[in-house]
Amino acid sequence: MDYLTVALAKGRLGEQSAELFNQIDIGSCLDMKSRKLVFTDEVNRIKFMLLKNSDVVTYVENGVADIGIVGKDMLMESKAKVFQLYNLSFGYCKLCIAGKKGADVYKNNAILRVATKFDRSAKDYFEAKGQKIEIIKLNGSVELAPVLGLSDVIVDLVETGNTLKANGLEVLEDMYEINPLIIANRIGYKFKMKQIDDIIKNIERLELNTIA
Amino acid sequence: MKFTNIKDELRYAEKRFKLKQDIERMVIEKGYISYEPGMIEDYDKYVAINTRSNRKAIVKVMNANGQISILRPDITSNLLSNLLPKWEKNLKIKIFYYEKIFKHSGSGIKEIRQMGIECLGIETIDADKEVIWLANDILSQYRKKYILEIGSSEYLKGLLQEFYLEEDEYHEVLTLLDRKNKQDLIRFAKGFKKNEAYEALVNLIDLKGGAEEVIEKAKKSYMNERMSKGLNELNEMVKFMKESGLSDNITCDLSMVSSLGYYSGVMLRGYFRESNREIIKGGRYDTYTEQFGEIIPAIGFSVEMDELLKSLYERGEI
Repeated sequence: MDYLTVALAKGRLGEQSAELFNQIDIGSCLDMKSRKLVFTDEVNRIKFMLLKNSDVVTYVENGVADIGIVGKDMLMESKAKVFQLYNLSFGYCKLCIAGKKGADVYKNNAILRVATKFDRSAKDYFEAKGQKIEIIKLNGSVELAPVLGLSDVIVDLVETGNTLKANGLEVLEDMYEINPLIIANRIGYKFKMKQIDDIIKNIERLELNTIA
Repeated sequence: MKFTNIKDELRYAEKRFKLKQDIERMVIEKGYISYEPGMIEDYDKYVAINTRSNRKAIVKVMNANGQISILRPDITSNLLSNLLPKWEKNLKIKIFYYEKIFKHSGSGIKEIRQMGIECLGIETIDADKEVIWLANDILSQYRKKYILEIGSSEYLKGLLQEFYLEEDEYHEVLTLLDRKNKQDLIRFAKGFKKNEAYEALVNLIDLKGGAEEVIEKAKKSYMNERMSKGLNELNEMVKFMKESGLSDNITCDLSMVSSLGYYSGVMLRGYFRESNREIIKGGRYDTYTEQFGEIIPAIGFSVEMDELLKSLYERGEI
């Protein structure tokens, strides 16, 4: 049997994913603290690779990895053509529009300045709402933009809202619910359907038991 | 594939020629006749018929009278607009082509080679069998391990018509089926009528895998006339392949969705393990022929020659 290749994101999402796999007796080889980037589970014939969060989709879409675990935010940004097999129940958050307290999201004739890392998702969302915007692409500390007058609002992931509060901002509108999901390459899945479906079944069973 | 030196480039061209000849020989043996469709079409006529085509990707040229013409963006519609106005009753034709299609991609124009076959005017089940047999022949010629996957747009449309969906709902359901996201589908279908068809819809994504198994499973769940017609066509094909001892690599996916809206029956796709694109894709398109003035039974598929050649060449198999 061929190895199944699995792409995981470095960082918190990757650690949660590794924990999840360990709970269904897969990937005991995974050591998230080491500097190694490839781990092989010989028993289950699985190769894991650790990648930058935003590259997981690229590896899966191009077939270098058969499946991967990635946040829906990354998937929406890339618009990749992959199967979205299973929504995981941890790491739930929201993509929101936030700004200074009481700020207006919809301005009749004016162009709204939006600072964000998620430029494609923001563009699509506001286009559907009929609000003209100007995107200001940032790579981090997005919360600063409205405070310092770089933008009117921001579009960002919100988990607890504490970061927003600490910087004097608030959520003005929820856009999308975001959760991590298991994605699969469209061709790879056809050839390893049983192995992949079995893993998902085990995860599903585990999650049901945890809730019960 | 691109090369920086002339020797490799010529070698590759030689291999391409050989591959083309091999496949041509196979289809000629099965009675297909070569046909050369025109390269240039009228823009207005094309978009009137292919309403869902991506207009930005079409390559436009202006003729001497200042009207807009296009370089053909696909072969099937080109072929039908040439042949169907001259159609005679009871004609049965089998044709093949090897041509380039043209698309805007980034700032340049992309030329894509396609080889394909079409069966026109031949009774549904007969043509279905004929076509899957040929597709299987081509795939098995080059690989032991391949997948020939079948689906049915009739089955799918039959199931979806039970819900009387608005157009945007209909497209959202297709998108979710295409992504194979069962959880999102269930969430989206919350407001739908909870009848027998509902169960069939939310479990549709599970109907994939070995063809015989999937068809048996589908028979046990909800069925209306249109679904049954679609499933029966698949069943006939699978039975035929099994009797011919060729069914090992055939799988079925009843939530298969095509990006082309015009299929009206069997759909098929062929995959190689190490290739990241479909090698073969096609299906039945009877209702599409109506756009050209005549409804006739029509089915065909195309072979992605560039992809096939690349995957064989990289492994030194050609």
